Amino acid sequence: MTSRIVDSSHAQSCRHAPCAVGRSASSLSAILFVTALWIAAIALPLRAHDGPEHVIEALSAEMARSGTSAELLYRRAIEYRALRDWAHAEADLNAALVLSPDDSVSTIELARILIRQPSKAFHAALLIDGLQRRFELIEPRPAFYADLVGLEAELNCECKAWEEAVAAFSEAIALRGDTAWYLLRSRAQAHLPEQRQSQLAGLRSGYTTTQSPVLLRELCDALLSPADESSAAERREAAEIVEEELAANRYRSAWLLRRAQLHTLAGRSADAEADLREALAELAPRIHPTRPDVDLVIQRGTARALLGQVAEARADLRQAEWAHAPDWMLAPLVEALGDRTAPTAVSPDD
Amino acid sequence: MVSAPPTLRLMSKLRLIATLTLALATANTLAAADGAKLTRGPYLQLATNSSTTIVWRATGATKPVVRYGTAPDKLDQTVDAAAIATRGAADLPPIDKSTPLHSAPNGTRQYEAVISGLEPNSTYYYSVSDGNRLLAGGDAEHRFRTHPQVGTKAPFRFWVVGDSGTGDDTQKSVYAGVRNYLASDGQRPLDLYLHVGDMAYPKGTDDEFQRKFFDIYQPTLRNTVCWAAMGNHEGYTSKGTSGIGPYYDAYVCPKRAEAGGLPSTTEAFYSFDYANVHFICLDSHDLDRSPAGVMAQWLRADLERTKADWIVAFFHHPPYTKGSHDSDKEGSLIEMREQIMPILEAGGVDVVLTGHSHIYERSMLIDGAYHTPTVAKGVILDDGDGSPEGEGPYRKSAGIHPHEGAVQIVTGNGGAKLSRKGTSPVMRTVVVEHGSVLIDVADDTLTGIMVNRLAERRDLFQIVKRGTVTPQIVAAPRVLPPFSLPVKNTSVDAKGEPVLPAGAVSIIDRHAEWEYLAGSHPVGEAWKLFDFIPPTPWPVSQAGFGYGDDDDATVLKNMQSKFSVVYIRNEFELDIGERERITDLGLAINYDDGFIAYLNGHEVLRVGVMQGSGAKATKITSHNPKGYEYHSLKEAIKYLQDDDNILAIEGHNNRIASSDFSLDPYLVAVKKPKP
Ligand SMILES: [Fe+2]
Repeated sequence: MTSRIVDSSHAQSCRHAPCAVGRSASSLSAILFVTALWIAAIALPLRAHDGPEHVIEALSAEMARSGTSAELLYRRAIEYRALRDWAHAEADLNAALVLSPDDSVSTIELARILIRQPSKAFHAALLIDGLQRRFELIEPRPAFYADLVGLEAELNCECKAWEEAVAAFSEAIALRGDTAWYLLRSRAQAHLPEQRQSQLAGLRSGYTTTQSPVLLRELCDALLSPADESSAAERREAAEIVEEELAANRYRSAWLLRRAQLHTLAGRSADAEADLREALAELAPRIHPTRPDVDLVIQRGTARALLGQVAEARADLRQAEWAHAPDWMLAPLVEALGDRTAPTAVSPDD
Repeated sequence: MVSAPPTLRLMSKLRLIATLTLALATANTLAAADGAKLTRGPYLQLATNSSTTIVWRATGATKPVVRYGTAPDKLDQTVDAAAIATRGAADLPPIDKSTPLHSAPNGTRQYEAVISGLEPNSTYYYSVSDGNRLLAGGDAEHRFRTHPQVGTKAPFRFWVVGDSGTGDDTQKSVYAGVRNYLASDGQRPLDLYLHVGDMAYPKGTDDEFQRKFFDIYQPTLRNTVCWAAMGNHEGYTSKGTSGIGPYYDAYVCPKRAEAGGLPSTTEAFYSFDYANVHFICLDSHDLDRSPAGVMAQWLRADLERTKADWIVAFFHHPPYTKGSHDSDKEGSLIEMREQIMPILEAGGVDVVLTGHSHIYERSMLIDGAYHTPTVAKGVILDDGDGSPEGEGPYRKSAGIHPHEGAVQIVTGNGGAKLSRKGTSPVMRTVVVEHGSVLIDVADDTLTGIMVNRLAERRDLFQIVKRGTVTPQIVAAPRVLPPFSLPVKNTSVDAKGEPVLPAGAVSIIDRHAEWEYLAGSHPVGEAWKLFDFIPPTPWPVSQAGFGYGDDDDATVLKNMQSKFSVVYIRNEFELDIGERERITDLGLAINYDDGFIAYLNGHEVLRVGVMQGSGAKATKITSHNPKGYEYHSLKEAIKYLQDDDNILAIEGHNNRIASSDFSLDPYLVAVKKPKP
């Protein structure tokens, strides 16, 4: 397999996306348990009851007493990670790799931390590429190879190399059909207009395989996006999903917003408005006044924007951005505001 | 009838044996010569109102047969062979398309039998066999009860355990405590068992699962489904992303909404319905906890769908704790609070059960406590104790509604060593004592208790959901007093403070909690050792112990004229490298009249007991304490061990009728600074 990780010139354009980092972290962690080297390395008593700061103290003391080792440095890095002290974690992993350059577990953990920092994406890419090359020749490939490919795909997303990302996600899905990879592949394909049908087909098959409600939502949104590309048949397919969900759910606002979108596409603006108002009424008690779930804020903002309440919708956008919602989550709100901001962008407080 | 000639009979016999051998070999070609041996289970897993799953392991290939029926002696149904999945250890040839067991012992096969087409809310009995040879079951203990129909308001009870997987006597005594409680009069048996993670220390290996989970809880596991959440210690060998590892081998969890809820597509997180409660299990350890992650998106969809009367969420890392972990400082805990709790509370969660922090902490009725650090201001909807026997239950509206308040329970006290850093401002009850939680749901009332090792109830709260309640934030909530470590090593003064060496710090705090035995004598010498397993658990209480002089935290009311010896034990730990840094060690002790101290089984100090020990101690001199005395244990430093240590003390009264008794020690050390 040829690795599709892009080179440093792309890496420089990487934008930090906090949520994507979380995803990377999760798929990488699968790799950790397989490596016998690591399991064997933990000779220290693993204590059941200490907070990370105590373990760090203990490990530092141990290293002061008997010298540093790759295992101790790795262990301490993991504890620093638990405290979200990324700088120390990175330093320990780098030091561990100086002592034990072939340690794949430390390598992966380091890549995982480097991904958080746009300026270090190239370094992360090198590490992942190197690991892939090492394991792709082993037959049968270890189970975690899928995670390596998934990681490569996520790195490509970070670097906006969408085609490479789609190819890598497809390979990862063929190895193991994770819901996250179906979802992320769809998100990458949304950047590639020529892949729209392939995006829809991938989501349909992903939903059929997994029955995941997350993929069903993604499919419904993809069917209606972009609006001018959405065929009558696709809108009917979306409408069927929407009606089924509205009938089944206790909280319906997310689906009312989708139905409003369908109404609008069909020119039924009064029906759309009724759905938006119902959504807002349902959202009100669910939104915590100081720190609500960002998804609900985006829903509220979208409904407000579509109802012409631009200043309120903008406030919701600011709140969602402040909560680090990724672009794909913000998209409906940004789009709804986009339609409205041009003529009314005169709000004095903006 | 004329009998056949002997030669002919012999030949027939030989032929018969040959035929039988052949038949056995054909029918059960994989059977080992010595037959199958049961190595795990059978135990219950994934259950619904019409089905259940029975899992067991055996070595030596077997012909798996599951029989079941409505009475132990009437197992008249047999599970279709096609409904029994077989998985093999890595050394065995691949079995169909099944995933091999991650790290089971060589030769192990795991069988997962699904019994379907059952009546809801009904009890069945079962057995598992190798062909016609019974392996287990066919008795009253091997039974299961199908879930009631979803929405039924029938009462039920579930047990919650966290951080139990030590395999030692503490874990066993927590289990014994709850079993003794359940065995007492009028108690309802368990319907479900939730484990909030850390069930096999330290690394969640297959062998640790066997010894520290299955071997211990088997009497419950064979008739109660354990629904599990992954802890960080399982995370050393099992991974949520791939669903591979000993944890995922041990449990069969819903991926496709088999038991209610929406399909999670993974066993790492899932939901299920039981009666009128919707249970949600999350993986707080190794999956994305961000609001954009797949787990959060699934959680929103699942919450939007459920129409249960109650929502109970459980996972490992607590959003609020100051036990052995600090939720203001550690990433997973912060993220569960800041990113997942807003989703759960907007969805109407009622109770959140977690572990990880080795302590019992139970909150007031709270909502919206997402800030870091956690504060009480603006987040407490009811600052009462929630007790139907005290300030009254917490009240919420009937049905599920967003942001009407939830109770958080940290029950990381299932076996691992306890500790406390402080007091989370949202907590109403903090108990540094081993135990586990029982929760009863009956229609609109949910009642939770914590049961300790002595089968005593140590906390009680209730939530009642009735009518319409408008949540109101308590402007100036009553909160628990701050917690601080008590020892400040001041020098001697007129108030009886001991003269401690310069720089001494406490290793066992003054007024720490100790295990104690009062009124009888321990058998043998084992009580002085770390690994001691008492026949019945010793109670735990705060030092000092005694009576008659108003200075005892634990008053031994029955001691006077009844007995004269009290035994106490306290486990303490030394971090890696800490033992080497200890340059002085000593005991500060307020005692009346004598005592003998043992460090890791070695006698290290004897004061006032002139001869013998325990029940055979004699010639105890009288001593009237004036406060704490300091006794150096410098010579005992050599007995300290890395990690686990035990200080055991027997305290003696010189006369059984004496008017008072005191035993109030704490342990201090002087340590070199860290390099
Ligand atoms: Fe834990």
